[in-house]
Amino acid sequence: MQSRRAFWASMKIGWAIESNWTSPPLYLLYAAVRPMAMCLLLYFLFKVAAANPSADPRFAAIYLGDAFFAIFGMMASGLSWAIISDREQYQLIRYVYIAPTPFVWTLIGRAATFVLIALTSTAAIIVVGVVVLHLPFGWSRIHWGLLLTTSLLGLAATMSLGIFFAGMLLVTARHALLLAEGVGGTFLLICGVLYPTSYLPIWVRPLAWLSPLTYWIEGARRSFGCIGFDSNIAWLPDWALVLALAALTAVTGFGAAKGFAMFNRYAKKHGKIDEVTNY
Amino acid sequence: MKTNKFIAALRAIKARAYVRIVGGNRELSWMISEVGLPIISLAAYIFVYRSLGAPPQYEGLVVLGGAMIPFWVGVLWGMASQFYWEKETGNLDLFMASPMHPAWLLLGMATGGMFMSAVRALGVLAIGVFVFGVHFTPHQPLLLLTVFLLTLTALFSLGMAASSVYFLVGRLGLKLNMILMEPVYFLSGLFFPVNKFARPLLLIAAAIPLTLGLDGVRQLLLPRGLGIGFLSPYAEASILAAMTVVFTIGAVRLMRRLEAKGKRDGTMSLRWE
Repeated sequence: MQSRRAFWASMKIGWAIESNWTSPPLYLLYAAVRPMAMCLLLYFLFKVAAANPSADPRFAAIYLGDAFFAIFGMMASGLSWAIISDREQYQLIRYVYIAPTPFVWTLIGRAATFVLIALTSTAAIIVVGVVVLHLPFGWSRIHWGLLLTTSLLGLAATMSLGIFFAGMLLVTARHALLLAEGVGGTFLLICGVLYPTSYLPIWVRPLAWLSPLTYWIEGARRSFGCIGFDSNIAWLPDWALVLALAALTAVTGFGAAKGFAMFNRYAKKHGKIDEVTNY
Repeated sequence: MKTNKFIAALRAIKARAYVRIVGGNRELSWMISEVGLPIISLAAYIFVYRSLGAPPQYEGLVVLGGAMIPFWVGVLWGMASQFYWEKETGNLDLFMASPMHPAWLLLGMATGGMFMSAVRALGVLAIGVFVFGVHFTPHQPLLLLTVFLLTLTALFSLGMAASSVYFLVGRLGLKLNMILMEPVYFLSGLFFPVNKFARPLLLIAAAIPLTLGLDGVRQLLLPRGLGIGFLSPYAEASILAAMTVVFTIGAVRLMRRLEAKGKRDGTMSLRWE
């Protein structure tokens, strides 16, 4: 009961902190501008190789991959910023920490807010893709069952990774804000978001296949009719893809819970919960 | 009397720059994270070009774009929003009470910021050359140096001008910074040649010093770079020089207004607004 209340309260506070400087529609537009800019960047980058990227199925796959990956990127950077600003700028984290609810539920609430905001951004990016760039993502072609299943699992994996890195931020200094960029960049690099994993060096590929995000992005692509982009996992039938994603999400969730508990203990033991490092 | 003022100005510039030149570079973990982590994203864009079968010169284009990121980040977070941070940490009122013109403070911030960003940019270039095997073929080195330096002066004078505006908008400035990251990466053609833009978009993009500077540096540094530029490097250098003058004059004027307004409204030391 307490955890549920902490979760909702944290979501509410998270939304207020992020958006109370403007109206909700304007905020959601603001939140969509950054990932949308990256998708448009990809369009012009693709123009180097193809005169009309919209007609190339590879571009549709890349565009979708980036649109869904934006959820992870936004959650990772948002949660990092939330922890650092609560600890260093507003110096409120100690009061949240000593409240009679598990601290992790506060973080899960904040992470959920970022995920919900990011979902609206992803939807906006897809709409822009269809309306402006004429990408072939018609409503009738969407495989809703696969999309919902892989998205739910993918979101669970994303939040688990977010909680793990949030724990890491509890024990690192302010400049760990860059960690979000590094983590986002690493997953962007290895998860076959912008190119098939076969273009990765051989020794990196197993990392891609162990990441739940790789299967989530592939599932999202298949749901929108983009088939066969990554030959390394294209041979998997849908049920096997969902199974692999479910198994990896469960492992990620378990690892994240253990990892967060370890970082939390370390932070408490070494007095790092409210340590200010912006000297 | 004039000599004393000049020496005081130099001291103020040196003191403010010192924090960034020495303080910003003495923590090794900062250096590693600030150079090493962004390169991971750059690697992704290099792999995109490889997967598309683009000529290797485009990998150099990505590395050059990545090397310019620290300068833009420095302008936004180290210049434009700096006065807001100084206010939050309680330094701004001390700066304003000290016997110097606030413009020297801005100049010190810009000097130190340029150095700090340059160190990180060199790190990105080194990784690009030694890890990704990117080749650069500098031609017209003097013009290349001129374009690069004018890019820095235009960028940081823009940052100086923006710092006063940001100070007035308070917490909103942080949101402004966020929205000026990726969209500017896109508009300045950080990872692709801007000549792919249609003319109206090109006009908007050309208003950003980063676009012109990056385009000029690419033309003079990449093999067959002249084929991907949209203006001649001479024209770009001239526009960047004009931007530097306009932004610097604007920065000094805005600074005076900010100081007067801050004192009149009593907002110089007001936090969390």
